Amino acid sequence: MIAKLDELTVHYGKRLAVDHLSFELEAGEIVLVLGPNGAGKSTTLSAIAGAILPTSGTIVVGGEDLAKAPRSARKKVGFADQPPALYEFFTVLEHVTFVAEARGSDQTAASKILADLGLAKIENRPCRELSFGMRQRVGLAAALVGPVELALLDETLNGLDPHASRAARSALRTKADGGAAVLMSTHLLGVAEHSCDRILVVNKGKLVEDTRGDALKALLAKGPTAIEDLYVSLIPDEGPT
Amino acid sequence: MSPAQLMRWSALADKRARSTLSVIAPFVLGGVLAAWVAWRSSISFATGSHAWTTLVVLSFAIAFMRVPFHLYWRPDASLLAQLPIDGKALLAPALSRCVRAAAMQTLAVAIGAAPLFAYDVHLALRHLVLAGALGVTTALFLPAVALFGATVVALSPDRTQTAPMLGALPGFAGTAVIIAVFLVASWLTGGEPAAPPPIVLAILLAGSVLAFIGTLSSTPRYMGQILRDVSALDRQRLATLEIKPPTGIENAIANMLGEGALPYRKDARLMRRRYPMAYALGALAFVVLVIVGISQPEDPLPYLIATLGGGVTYALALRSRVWSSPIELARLSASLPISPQAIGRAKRAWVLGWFAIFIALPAVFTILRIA
Repeated sequence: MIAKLDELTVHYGKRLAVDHLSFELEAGEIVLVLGPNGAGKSTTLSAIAGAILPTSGTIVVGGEDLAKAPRSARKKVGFADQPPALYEFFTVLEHVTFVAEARGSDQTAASKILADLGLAKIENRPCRELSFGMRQRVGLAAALVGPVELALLDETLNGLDPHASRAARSALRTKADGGAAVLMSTHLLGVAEHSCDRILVVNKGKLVEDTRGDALKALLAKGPTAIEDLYVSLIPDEGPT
Repeated sequence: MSPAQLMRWSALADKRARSTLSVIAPFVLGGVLAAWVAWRSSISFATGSHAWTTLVVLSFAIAFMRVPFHLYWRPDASLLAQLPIDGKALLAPALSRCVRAAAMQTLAVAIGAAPLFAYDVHLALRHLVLAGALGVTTALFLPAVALFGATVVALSPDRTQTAPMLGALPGFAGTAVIIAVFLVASWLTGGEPAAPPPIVLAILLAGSVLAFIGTLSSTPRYMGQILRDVSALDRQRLATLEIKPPTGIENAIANMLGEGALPYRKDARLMRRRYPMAYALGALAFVVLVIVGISQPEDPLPYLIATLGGGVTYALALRSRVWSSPIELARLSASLPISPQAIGRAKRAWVLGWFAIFIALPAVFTILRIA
């Protein structure tokens, strides 16, 4: 097991964003989190990354409790925030190298992940000059670089062209095959269909569906709109919550 | 969108961006200046006047440098340039910001001159006249010069070649105004000035008004282009980052910081690129302190206190910058395995390093020389 959330609860003031959420992530899994806007997906990812503090509950990553050993846990977590947090006055390579070094890795690893994601040509370009899609890809590179055991991607595959999307999915699969877990939120159901091993559906901060293995295969076998049909059957169209 | 509409939106944005501190700042600065002048005036009226003049020149020099930031080096410049807004409408809030800033600045230095009235009302009034002239110059002349430079850049075929004018022309004009102040400085204490004050002041005032009228009639045509080109140039120039390895001093400091070395190196590189002015102003303070130490003027205290006070104030501003985006990304840092203590240590080391090199070291040299 790579990570375990136990009764994770997050409040923003009086508003409940994540409501006693529990699940585990296994090595080698690419897990998709689906849910309507405001369902608590980003909050959950941010809490696992340590970027926000949960109100209650525990998060364990790589055997380390995030609350008790935050540094050790964070070494194993890569987070692509939304929008990606980039040092605007760094070049792409400098930004990713900084993150790599923070995780105990080096520039070689940064160069490699940039090459894997097709970003080698722009590695000396300042981050502030990048387009939306490029920023997403640099954010993804920073999330994957170094000894990351759990990559958290908050709608990171949005805005990518087909080549970039394919390179990103390939990099995620390589990471997962290397023993990491990937937890990503997206609304791109086509991407989900191509690349995920498991689907979590959250609504109003609660887990309402967890499909994997044979159940997922059976679901996907139903046709190209199977995931969308599942989503629609689980989430009533109530608008933003 | 009409000038009035944009003025309203602009005023709303400025009002929300302004902190309470910025509203009371003229009174606080004026109070500090007045206390300083009162203390120095207890020695003699001339000493008090010199003290006032030193800080007034320093504060207006900073105000001159800020003029382009009220006009075109603004975060919303590229957005405004994209919108279908008439040049006249774009110009109005820009000039209004300049006038407001100049008024606040003039109010502060006028408050600072108050203690002089206890000694000689006639001579004290001369200080107010000079403050007023500097205020008008900051409000009207400097914006006109800055916009003239920006128009030349916007209309030139090779903008990257003429781009240095954006900062250089206001800097040159500001220097000319400061020289004019020095020419009439003796007049403030009843002495024989190097140039006739009525003529110098008349030139400043008439020049400001004429330049402003010229701006109102000619700049609206180009204001949209200025905002667009200047922001594009800004991006282009900043895009060519100076990629240099850490300096020997930075490496030496980083080596003492343990876990803080990585965030320190990051901060040092980013501060160099984002806030190069910190190094320019630091070097200026360094040079001023060393010159005071070498020349040993009769009354070095105004120079020392002005430079040290400015240095401390600027160091506090840098402390705030080093903790803010784009130098510090709190959410990214929170997700990295770097302890908050190490990040804090790195920030403190950068600010203290800047202060030690540019302010403390030359100050010690100067104080030892004077002592």
